[in-house]
Amino acid sequence: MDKLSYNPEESSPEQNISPQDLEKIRSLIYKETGMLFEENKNYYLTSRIKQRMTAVQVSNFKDYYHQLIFEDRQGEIKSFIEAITINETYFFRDFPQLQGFAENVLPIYTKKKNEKSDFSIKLWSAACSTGEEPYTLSIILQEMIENSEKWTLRIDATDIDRKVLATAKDGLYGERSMKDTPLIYRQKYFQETSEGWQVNSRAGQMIQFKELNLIDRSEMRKMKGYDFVFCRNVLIYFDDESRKKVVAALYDALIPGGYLFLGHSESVGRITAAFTLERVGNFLCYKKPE
Amino acid sequence: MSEKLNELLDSLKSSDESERRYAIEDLADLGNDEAVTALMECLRDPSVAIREASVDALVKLGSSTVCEAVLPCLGSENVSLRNDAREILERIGPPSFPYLIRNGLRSSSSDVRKFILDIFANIPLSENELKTEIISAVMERLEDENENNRIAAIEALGHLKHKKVIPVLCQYLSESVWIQCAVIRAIQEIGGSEAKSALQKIDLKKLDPYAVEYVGKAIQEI
Repeated sequence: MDKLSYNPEESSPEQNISPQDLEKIRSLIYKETGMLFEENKNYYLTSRIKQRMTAVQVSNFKDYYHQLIFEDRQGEIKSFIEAITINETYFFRDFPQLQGFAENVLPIYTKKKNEKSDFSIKLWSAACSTGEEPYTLSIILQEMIENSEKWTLRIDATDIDRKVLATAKDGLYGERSMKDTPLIYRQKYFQETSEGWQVNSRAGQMIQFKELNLIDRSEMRKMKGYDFVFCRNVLIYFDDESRKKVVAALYDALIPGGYLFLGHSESVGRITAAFTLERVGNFLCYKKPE
Repeated sequence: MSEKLNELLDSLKSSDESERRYAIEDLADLGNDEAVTALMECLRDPSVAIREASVDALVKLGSSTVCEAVLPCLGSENVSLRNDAREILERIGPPSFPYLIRNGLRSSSSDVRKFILDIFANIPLSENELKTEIISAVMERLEDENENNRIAAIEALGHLKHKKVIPVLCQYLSESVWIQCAVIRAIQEIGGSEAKSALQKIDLKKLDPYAVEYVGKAIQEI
């Protein structure tokens, strides 16, 4: 299989949001919460606004803003703030990036390893939350690596929050988490139960969950030898100093030639020049020099 | 030399990039100036990650030994080393200023003097406890043999916003057009009624036509 399956029904509607609209929203958030969303968070902010517009069934920004300010001020403002602060996650989140990883990065990377008779891949899902990301990556590795059963595949999934790790280990998910999961993978890697979708052993076999604080230097130094690190939508919550420490530790965790994947709105540009920037399709990823 | 220090200095020779970086981080935590020479060497490491860690470590040590070791690098032909040196001194901030005033601004290297003037043109004013000393030292550079340095000194004086330098700056309005423009911009940056008055009193006939335009804009914007 050389193409990653996707769910065409999940494409978002075309809801145009201009820079002026974003400025209005930024001012509103600042006024309501004191949180300052700078311009480098435009993508994140836009995606959250669109998400709420879809949820309240409003097709243009003007109407949504009117609703926020006048019609349902307390209700929608709260929902909107939850949408921008809660680190929501679901299977196959940011599909284009995962597709780039699966279809562009992984084949070339595994081919190189193959040539060296190295049949191992070690991946780290840093800040894995309730587990959707590591299970997604497990599915991708199994689907996209030719003769994957010959390979030693391992995913370390870490988070600072023990509660979310417990949920991740249980592997039981509601429909919301599954919304972008293609049918073919639902059938292969999940079992539908009366309580929700249960991850099967095939999806979970290579994953080890572990509690980890990303700014705990001594613990971070134990994380070594990774081919790929996924640390998506995490750095946005750190200040500059902590962000620098975390990125340095992620760099050290990678083997030379390994890749770091960040969220769409995140960049290490102002933090370090140590990585080589690679464009894969429509997204950027960071490669540790070989 | 302590056992721990020796151990960390040995680790700097490791072929493993991460081991070298861990050693650099730990040397910074140790806070021992005996590591400065080794950390300075790391600024020439081929790995960007190692160089970045060394910059952070030297900033964290932030001692006069660090300033002394870093200062000559401002005149280096190695662009990366030169930029790292500037970053280190800027980030160390006020503790480095006495050293920069005493040694840096009187360096025989024109490049070193220029970089230090640029540092003084960017320092946060709130942290500037040595303003009088800095201003005096920067004013000496108004007579620098290099015109770029004279311009940098004028810009720094504008940034430092000390009204008493306005009459001094006005004395340089008979020099080249570049100096004239720098003086006008600096007076504008100093701002206030004294600056506006000084600009209004300038004899425009003695200025280059290009600089005359600057005077008009500056008066409007104050």
